[in-house]
Amino acid sequence: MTSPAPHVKSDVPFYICLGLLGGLYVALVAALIVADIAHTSTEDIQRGFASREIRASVWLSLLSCSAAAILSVWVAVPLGYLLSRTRFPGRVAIDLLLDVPIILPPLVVGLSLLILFQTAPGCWVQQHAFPVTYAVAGVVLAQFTVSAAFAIRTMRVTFDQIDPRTEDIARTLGCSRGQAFWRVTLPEARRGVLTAFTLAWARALGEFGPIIIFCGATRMRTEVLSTSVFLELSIGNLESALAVSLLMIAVAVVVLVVTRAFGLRGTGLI
Amino acid sequence: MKRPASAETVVAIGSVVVFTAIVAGLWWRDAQNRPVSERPLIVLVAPASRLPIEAITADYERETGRRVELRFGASEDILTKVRLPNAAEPADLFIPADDSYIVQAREEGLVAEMRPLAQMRAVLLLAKGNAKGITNWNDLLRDGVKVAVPNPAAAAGKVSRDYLTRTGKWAALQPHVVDTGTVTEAANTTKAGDRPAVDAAIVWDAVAAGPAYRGQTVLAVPELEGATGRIEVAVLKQSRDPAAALAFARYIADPNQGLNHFRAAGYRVADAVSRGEEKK
Repeated sequence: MTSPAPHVKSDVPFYICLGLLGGLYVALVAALIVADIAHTSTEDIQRGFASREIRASVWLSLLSCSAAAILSVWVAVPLGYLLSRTRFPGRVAIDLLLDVPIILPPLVVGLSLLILFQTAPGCWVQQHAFPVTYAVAGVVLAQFTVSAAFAIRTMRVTFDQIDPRTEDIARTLGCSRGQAFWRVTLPEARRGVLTAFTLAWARALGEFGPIIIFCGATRMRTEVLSTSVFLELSIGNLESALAVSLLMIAVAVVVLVVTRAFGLRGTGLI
Repeated sequence: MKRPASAETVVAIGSVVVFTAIVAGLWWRDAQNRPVSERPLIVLVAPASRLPIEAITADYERETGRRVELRFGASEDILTKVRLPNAAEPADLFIPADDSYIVQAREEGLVAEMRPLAQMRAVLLLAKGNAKGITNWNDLLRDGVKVAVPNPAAAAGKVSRDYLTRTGKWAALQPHVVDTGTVTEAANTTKAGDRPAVDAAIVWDAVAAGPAYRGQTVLAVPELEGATGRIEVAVLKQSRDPAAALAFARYIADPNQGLNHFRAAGYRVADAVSRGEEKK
């Protein structure tokens, strides 16, 4: 004789609670985009595309954000690994230092960069290597300064979550530390690297404060999409500002979807 | 047998190749937009004056062949750049949103000379549709009416608050006041959304006359008559080419050339200002 099955409570209330709480945020973001779309027109968007300056700022945004995101991943992978897997003097201080670009108000980041490149070494770099202040290199540097901090945090968490034993086993099988990292840990961190890249890219696209302070907004030269929005707002042209904002959203969605599609290809995750 | 390159190696090498290509693309783009020989005149300008200044610059470049580079930024930001000049590329001219920033730069010994361009007075810019039916100052004091006023860091905010305090009208208005940042932010609150969050804004007449606010009512109320400011152009001491900088400043302040564009954009280019009085 079998005993009656224990009474199992329904999972529905649990999922309803999760859905309601999470749904609030999803609804807020969706409502923001719908409000923007409702407040602009196809003519405004067409006018934005027709502007030579806006087209130039779209290209500069795409290129500078990609450069800043690649640079961010280049520093995030080694720093994330070192902070996660090793213990060395000053580790805690470096860990705290890497949070500074996240904590600092964006305007302060821009002002600090401006002051840095007014110092003797900064002036030397500008005079003997390449111009940074008010130049495209400055745009990439301003974006990289902030977005790298987010990429490093992402990589640190990624390496924290990867079991070090797989790396140890690789070493017992004859791999050096570098080979174990390259052949075992890095492939396991693939999703993290991709997340760090997309997060850095998206952060760079939205960057405004450091760029306006450090590089100004010179049309056709240092104007990126966020500064285009500022320039339109500053003459009260809300419609054009919204059109450029929608353009930013569209560009970001396309780039992030394509990046994820390529990055996760073959992993079975998409 | 040679082992094929791992995906990680391919991605790492690919990222170097892509990064190099991007840097090359950015360098090429920058080179296309850089002057071939002569150094351009560098003008730090507040975006509030963007439309007339862009038109004046286009005329000047066409007429003289001299390149001018406009660097936009909020007045306080471009004042910071005047204070921290870039050794490689010092600025030549400074055109903030109003003369209060030039006064600060002048007090710090950064200005060689300046020229007036336009006069401004504070006015009421009514919200799109004027749902509350505002027609005069007293209507602002009715229950439920909200008035956007730039904060005192912006000259329009400071001048109008000081003037209203002196004339004894600020205390009554204050409960209705919504603080905003810049004068343009105050103006923008009157048209953002289908039902703007404020019913009126105190802004410069030059701002209210901009094409972005066409269709909205502007009231030049006597209660704000004495709240005035002006736009000036300053030649900076840091300029590498003071003669060329002064020549462009004169062109901007010329009643028959640069000031025509200010007039067309709705700025009050008063007679006294039109004479291009020079101050040192």
